[in-house]
Amino acid sequence: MLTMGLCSITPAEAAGAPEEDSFYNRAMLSPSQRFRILLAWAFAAAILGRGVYLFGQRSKGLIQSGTASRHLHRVLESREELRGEALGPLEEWVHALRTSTPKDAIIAFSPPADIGVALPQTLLALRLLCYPRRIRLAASIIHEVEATGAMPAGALYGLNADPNALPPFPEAWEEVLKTKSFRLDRYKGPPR
Amino acid sequence: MREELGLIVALVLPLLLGQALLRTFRLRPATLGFAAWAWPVGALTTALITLAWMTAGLDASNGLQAGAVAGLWLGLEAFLRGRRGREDARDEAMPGRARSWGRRIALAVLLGIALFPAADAMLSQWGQPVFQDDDASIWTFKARILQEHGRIDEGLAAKLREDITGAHHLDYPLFNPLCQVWVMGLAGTESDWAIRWPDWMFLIALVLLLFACCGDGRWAGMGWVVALVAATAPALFLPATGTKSDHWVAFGLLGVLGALDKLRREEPGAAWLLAVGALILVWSKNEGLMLALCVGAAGLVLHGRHAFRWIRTRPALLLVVVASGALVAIQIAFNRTYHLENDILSGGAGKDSRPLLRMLVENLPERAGAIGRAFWIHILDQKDIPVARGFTAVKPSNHGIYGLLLGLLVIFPRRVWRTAAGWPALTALLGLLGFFLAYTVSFEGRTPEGLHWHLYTSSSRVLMQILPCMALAASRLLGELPLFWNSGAAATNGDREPTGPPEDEETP
Repeated sequence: MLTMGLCSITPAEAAGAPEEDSFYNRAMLSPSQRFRILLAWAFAAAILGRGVYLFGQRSKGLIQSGTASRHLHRVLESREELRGEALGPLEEWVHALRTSTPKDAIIAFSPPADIGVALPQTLLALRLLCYPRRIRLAASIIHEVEATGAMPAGALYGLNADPNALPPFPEAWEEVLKTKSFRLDRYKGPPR
Repeated sequence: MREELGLIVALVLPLLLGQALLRTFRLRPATLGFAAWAWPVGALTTALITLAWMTAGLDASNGLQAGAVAGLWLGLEAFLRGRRGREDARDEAMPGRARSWGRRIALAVLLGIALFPAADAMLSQWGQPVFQDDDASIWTFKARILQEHGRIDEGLAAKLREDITGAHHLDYPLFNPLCQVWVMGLAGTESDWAIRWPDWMFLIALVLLLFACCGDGRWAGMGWVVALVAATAPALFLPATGTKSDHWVAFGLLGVLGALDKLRREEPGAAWLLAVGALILVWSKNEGLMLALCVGAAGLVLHGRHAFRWIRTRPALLLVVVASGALVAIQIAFNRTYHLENDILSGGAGKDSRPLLRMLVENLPERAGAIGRAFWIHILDQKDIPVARGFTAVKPSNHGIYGLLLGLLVIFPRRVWRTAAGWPALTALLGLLGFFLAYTVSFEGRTPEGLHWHLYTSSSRVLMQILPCMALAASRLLGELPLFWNSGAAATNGDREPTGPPEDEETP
């Protein structure tokens, strides 16, 4: 007998003869083999039947909930509308940053006070959608300024989620844009 | 309108290039396998051209490399036209299963049903920009950095930095980001709604390949049923549809296993398909490299020394090894140049600096239970899973495909290895083991959520990579089983074909 890893074949098989215990050598199946084959079919039928049933239930749910018409509506909708639906309040910020700040700008972002656990995803979205602008938390820039005594190099902008809150040293900033939901300022330099 | 036209060019050109390459490989056109492979082959070649373009210092941000892609396609078409006379004669001799119209209609209906959930997943994301999750932080952010810079040069080093961008895992393979660079180059920088298309194309290709591979066995109908159940499983399309690379890995793995089957049957072009499948596998995601090793290890375990003899008699296999090795070397060189490190291989995911092996040994007793439980939930295909204390999540169903294969392996613990199911089955088992070990050394102090959170959020997605391979193994095994075992000697082995590569090579 030749040994090949987990497989072992007889010299006759190696010479090209059919395997004696092949699954489809039906004439030579023992009762135990027949039982196992029956068990395998029952098991497979149960699993595959369950899969088909689950798929059917889900498809029924999708059809009943009007998903097809929603999808059709989505395909026919304009890209701006779809974008607005997906981004929500972020859309305004992204649009303002993309249109009102240079590509090499550093943005000091002051998030809304109630942002909570949404902060990492908000930062990620702003950073990606406004790339190559660098979005940083205003608090971290303030820490850096306190530690080094210098403002970051480059064009610095402040995006404040509260339009009525003024940035620290307001006279150092110039208003670029103000809406109901945010305020965008440009850092002019230290007040004289 | 310009953006839509750009997107159409970005999708059609790789398809045209892919079909021309497949015909150059002498694959029979107008088959399901041909349709499945066309986009991935074209996308891989397009990504390689984009990489060469950027490395040569040319700007890829404007999509001008489309000229090179179109030039290659036209060149191949001219070559194929010149070869047509001989090709026709060869085509006649090509092996191919005769298909009746009834079978074709049945296949078309099943495919339509199978693609319905994938279409639903795609349409749910229609027109939305990518801005969340791993899609954004890993794959699209890297693509955006590459696209904005346009070239692979010294200046890129200042931009490929996680600390200043907020991007993660910048060391991950370039294939997917380069495909997004290609789309953004042609459809414009504002086309963040369009960059899901490469992954969507891979999802469609994966479903087609699943049907092609599962239906390629002894009993095509049984294979199609298993393919239908696997392709409609939410685990296949829900966790990964977007811009992630998991469908790409799944396609590469299934492609490699399907091509190995074709190679065993001496079908034309099989070695090329194997090479392309291996390239897609190792260049899509780091898990792909692990799964490629699993395929190799499964071949060696199952066929021992005969595997080497098999390789020796098929020199084309060297192409697979050399091409895959070269691509991995290119990726490693890129990462070294820009000081990008894999956080698992560089001393244990994040802040842990223990050597990998030591971490494995030390973490195993502590983590084995949790990881085993999570995997068991997937195998049993339970619906609700605990994420943390007091929190449960709905796990996308895999339709019991993991359980189906493992159950069949329990029923036939020995004989399965001698059938055509052996190689994909052992690959899937080794893949499970690989993912188990990967979870053992990952997420060490890296994220605040911890191992449990990652297990229950990412395990559905990464285990999906071996779901088509498990479906293939299950369909092969079921295809080998007699439906009516008392049908007599007429069915006895008269038409049997070799079930493993070495056996048809062995001489006394």
